[in-house]
Amino acid sequence: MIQIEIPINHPTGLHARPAAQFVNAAKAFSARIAVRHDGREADAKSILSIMALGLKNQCTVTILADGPDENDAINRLKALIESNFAEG
Amino acid sequence: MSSLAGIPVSPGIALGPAHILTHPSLDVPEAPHGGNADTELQRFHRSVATSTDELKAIHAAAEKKLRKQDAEIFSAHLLMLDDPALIDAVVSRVRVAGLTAESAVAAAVRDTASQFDAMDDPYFRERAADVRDIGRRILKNLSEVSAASRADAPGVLVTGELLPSDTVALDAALTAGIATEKGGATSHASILARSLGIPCVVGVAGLLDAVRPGDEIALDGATGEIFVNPDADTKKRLTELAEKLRIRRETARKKKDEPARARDGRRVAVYANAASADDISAALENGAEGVGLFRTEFLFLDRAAMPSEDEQAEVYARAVAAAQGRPISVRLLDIGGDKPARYLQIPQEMNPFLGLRAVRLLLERPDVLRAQIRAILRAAPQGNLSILVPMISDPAELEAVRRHIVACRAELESRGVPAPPVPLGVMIEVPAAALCAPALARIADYFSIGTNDLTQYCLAVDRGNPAVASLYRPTHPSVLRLIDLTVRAAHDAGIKVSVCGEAGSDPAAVPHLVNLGVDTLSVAAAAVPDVKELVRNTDPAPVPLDA
Repeated sequence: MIQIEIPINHPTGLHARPAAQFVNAAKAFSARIAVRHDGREADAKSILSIMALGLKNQCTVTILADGPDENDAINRLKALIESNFAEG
Repeated sequence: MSSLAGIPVSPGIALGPAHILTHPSLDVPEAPHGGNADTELQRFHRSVATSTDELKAIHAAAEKKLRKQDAEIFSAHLLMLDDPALIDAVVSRVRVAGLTAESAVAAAVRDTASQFDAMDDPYFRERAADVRDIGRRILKNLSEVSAASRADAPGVLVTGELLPSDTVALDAALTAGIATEKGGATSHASILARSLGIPCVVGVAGLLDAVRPGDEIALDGATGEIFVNPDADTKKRLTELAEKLRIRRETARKKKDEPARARDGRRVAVYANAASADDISAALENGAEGVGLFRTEFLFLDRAAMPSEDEQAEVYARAVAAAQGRPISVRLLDIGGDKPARYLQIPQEMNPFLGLRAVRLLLERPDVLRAQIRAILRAAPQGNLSILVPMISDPAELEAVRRHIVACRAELESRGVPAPPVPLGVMIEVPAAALCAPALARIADYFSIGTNDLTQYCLAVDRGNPAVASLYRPTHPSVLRLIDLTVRAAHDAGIKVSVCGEAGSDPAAVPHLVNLGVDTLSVAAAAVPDVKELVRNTDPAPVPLDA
């Protein structure tokens, strides 16, 4: 299992559109992926759980991945967050 | 015949059978299935599969009809339908609590939505509506009664409220008009109806109780009147009015490139409001004589960092080029704590509309103000450009902006960039500005009256609040008096006045604005031909300045 810490950079936070991009990216991997923030944890493949974390701009999250493609998963999600969810 | 009234949001006459659109209620009481949990779950999964197919079709349609970022909400809806957390919540209610599929879905959706309702950020709170939208869709597909009431002839859509997914699924060819029980001028239904040119009345109290399947509906989108089973006289009156409007629209199209003169011979220029070079091209195509308001907020919203001076300069240069030498009035950033531009770090305010916004914010943030002024000045040599300052309430604010402009010109010249002087205009949208218009007129080059905000501030009415929206009236004598003061002060000082709010295209307000002496009306691109025709049909008449 691997994990990284990363700040969210999106003016409106992780609401519907960026959350959808994030979850769609996570679902492409077989690893179990979780997002941790403020003592709570959410399944990265559940948009409702991710949005319920209420992740705002500039808050820091921990992403944990566990499975055969855990490295690729973390790299992909990190790139998405670092690009400020730029691509559609 | 019975008659109802609501908020008129999109003008025009509609007459036809009621197409009643109901949404399944989420208030399904908990009911035990008393039988086989597997059967209930099969029904649930079938309904989710059908809902997924429907949403995929809606998503595809949305990508054609809407802007890309607006269509993407449906990709979030698709993920919600397939969400493990929601599915688990339904499955455990059916298996463990022994509930029917319907009551399990309703309870799971209510629980999830209320989580979002409780969040403090408005962006997250709005997600509750998305969860309810998909919940209603699953419930609809669970019920054996399929959507048999699918319309095959044009009619008037009657509904409680128009959900985001309804607005995309709506067939404009079959929708002569729209009436909703809830909603205000800024709700989904209103925005969609205006953009499609469908007559629409929202916020009609008692609508769903008054209309039965098979009823005939007539509505007037300019007055907000609705008639259920109209009598022969009413039908005749509205049909004649519709025909008159059709002829007027046709005439307007034919004469779109001719200047507009009122019946007394006074010339009124008709400009367009725009937010992009494309808007400007569309406006000129429709006969606009200039751009009375070029909005710049879009450049600053929905992004992580402020746009650079170079990026802004390019956008303004493209706008000036699109205007082809016609006047274009660029409004400085009109933004406050209610808009998502977090990088500006505007503190949360109890009352953003009475807070640090527009010119007040810009004077606190000279870095933002000066970058924008330099970018605008760099585009100035290519055309006929001026700078418009929003939310002025005191002449000192305008003086301060002018000092920044002088400094920016000197800065650019020292960089070897030509920066000619440009006219400086004042938005009159705070009652204080109208009341001190004589002092402002001595130091401004022109006035532009923002009737939307002026009306809201004058009458203390938020027009987005359905409880008071009916009090919002740009033709209220108090608002007309403020406009009268503004026009007199401008003309005494020898400067021009335009109106750039929605009153500029409102058939009830245009005659008053013309008779008060307004020089220019700046309106949505699509409305330019109709507004010219409204001006041509204006007779000289006293303006009702007394209540």
